[in-house]
Amino acid sequence: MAAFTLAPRHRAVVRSLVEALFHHDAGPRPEQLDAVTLAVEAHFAPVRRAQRSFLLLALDLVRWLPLLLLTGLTLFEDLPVARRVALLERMDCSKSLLLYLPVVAFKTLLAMLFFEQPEELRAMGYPGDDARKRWLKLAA
Amino acid sequence: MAQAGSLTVVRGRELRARLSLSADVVVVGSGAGGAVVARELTRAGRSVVILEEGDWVRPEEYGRLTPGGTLRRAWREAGLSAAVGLGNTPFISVLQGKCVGGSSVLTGGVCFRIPDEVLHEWSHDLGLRTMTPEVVDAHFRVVEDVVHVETVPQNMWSRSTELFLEGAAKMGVTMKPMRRNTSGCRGVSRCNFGCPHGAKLSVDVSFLPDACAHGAIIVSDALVDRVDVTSGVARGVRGRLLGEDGRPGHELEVRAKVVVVACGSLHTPLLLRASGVDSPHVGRHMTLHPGFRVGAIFDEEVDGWDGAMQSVYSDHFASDGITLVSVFPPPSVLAAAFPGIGARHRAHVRKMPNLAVFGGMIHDEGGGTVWRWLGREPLVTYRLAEKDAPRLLRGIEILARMGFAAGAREIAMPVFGIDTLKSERELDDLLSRPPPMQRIECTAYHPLGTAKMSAHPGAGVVRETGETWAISNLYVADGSVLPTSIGVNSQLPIMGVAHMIATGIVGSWARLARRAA
Repeated sequence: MAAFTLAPRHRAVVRSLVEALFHHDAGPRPEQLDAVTLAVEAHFAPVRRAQRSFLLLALDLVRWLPLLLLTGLTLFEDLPVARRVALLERMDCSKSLLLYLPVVAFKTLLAMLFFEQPEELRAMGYPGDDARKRWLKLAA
Repeated sequence: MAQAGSLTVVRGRELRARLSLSADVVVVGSGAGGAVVARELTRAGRSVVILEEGDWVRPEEYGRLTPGGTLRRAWREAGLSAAVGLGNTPFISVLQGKCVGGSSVLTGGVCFRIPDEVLHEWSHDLGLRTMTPEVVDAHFRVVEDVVHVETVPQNMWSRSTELFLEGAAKMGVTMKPMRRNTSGCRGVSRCNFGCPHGAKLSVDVSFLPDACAHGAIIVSDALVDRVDVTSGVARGVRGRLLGEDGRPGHELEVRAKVVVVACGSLHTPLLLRASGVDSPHVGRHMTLHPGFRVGAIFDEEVDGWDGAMQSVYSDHFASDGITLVSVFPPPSVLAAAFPGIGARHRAHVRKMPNLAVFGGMIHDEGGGTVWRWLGREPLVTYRLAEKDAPRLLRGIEILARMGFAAGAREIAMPVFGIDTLKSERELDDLLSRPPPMQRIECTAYHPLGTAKMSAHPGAGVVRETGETWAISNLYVADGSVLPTSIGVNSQLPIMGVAHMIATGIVGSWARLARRAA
């Protein structure tokens, strides 16, 4: 694929987005955040330049949100995780398309990349592609 | 040149020089339309070159790819394409394949024929005399045989499907078993990321091997820029080979007596326009079958991934323009559908084993347009017709009520920013103040109609034979020729119509060859 890499600022936003979107008591672990950030980079590579520019612009929008929404004089990635979660919840419920669309778009992509990690699949109870029992039993 | 399985593929990314070929027919696109045409023409003794913009992902690789990996390798724009909603219209994710085999590699394998009432409209109202159930039947028989269309056996129905059937039964909604192009399905519920067991007979393991056995050559990573036209007759195509990084490199030229364009409804109009087909209908009238899905969370363990991804459907609401279909995508894809952020989202994701999912789509009236934009990919806009917005909401409502009727304790609605619903009263409240369409989660797998067939030159882009009105020996054989929405999954209809077009080319060969001489 194309030799595309996210700018450091975009990588920081992706990492902090993943951490907030899927935050829980025990994680996500830093290795998981790194893995999803790399996967996002790989995912953006085959996307045409015009569309990719929109995605990067949306990451920039998320980055500047605390200032745009007057919730703090800091960048998104510098907020404590609890405040990032609160900010994303606010965007998710917003009536403004400009605010909820980036959350929806990134949540859709990042959730797929995050939850396809084997440990996350196991944690949600997925037994793996080859472990099927019910329909085989019914067939018998 | 690689010959694995029985495909003969020249990988454009591996070539280090200009590629120049000549053949009787060049087919642009290797999906459900192009593959069928290639098989029929090679069987009739014609030499065929198939050009595919995407990569060749070998079937044995499908199982090793995660859903994300498949999106990157085999889907156009890594699955991030969308139609921009105009007015009170959702932002619709439009998914298309970009690999050898095209979108057929990425369908759920669902096979419907074009409904008789749709054919009736085409043959009577639109004057397309050959589009009758009697005429198309012979073509459907052939393609159904090649891709092994079979009914999903009841033991393959997942518990997710059974629960919706229970809900439907309580509401008096009839359901029917689906037909799919499968053989030896093992029920791992990930058909639309490439069947890991080769059980889905997508065209890369059915029509294309047969075409190659009869002499067809596939060139992957081949981007066609335009059709060569001299004196109003198509003479071949020109383009560029794409490198490993997706960037255009060496030139590509194929001389041919007949050119068949089958790039799908988003790219066929761009190629036609670039080649001088200037009908005002090119790129317009696009229908999408906007689709939706509803999640229902039960007290019992459902393990919805245990069984066929799609197995039953309902045409109970066909007169309202709504088709309901069972579906259970991979769990990592479903995870995004749960509401909430952080711990609240995770708490929902933990309910995945208790989740049942059902989907639906609307038989839309067509408000889409494909525009040339920056770079190679089009800008797609779509405006829901006045009738379609209430249809969409009605379909979602039906599925939510079916979930509650089946005993679900929570319903995850395809509406951004709202929590799961705990009762029908909450559903009534939501519907009493319907959310704006822009908040509806909507996906489309069946873009159609952007180079529509017509009985008169002023009414469409191609004749009933598939040949363009504007340029002789230039044919279109993909979903873009379907003149209206069909209300059912489009894979088999595209194959059937492509077979009909291919048969016509075979029958007219002497005339076409004379014209090209």
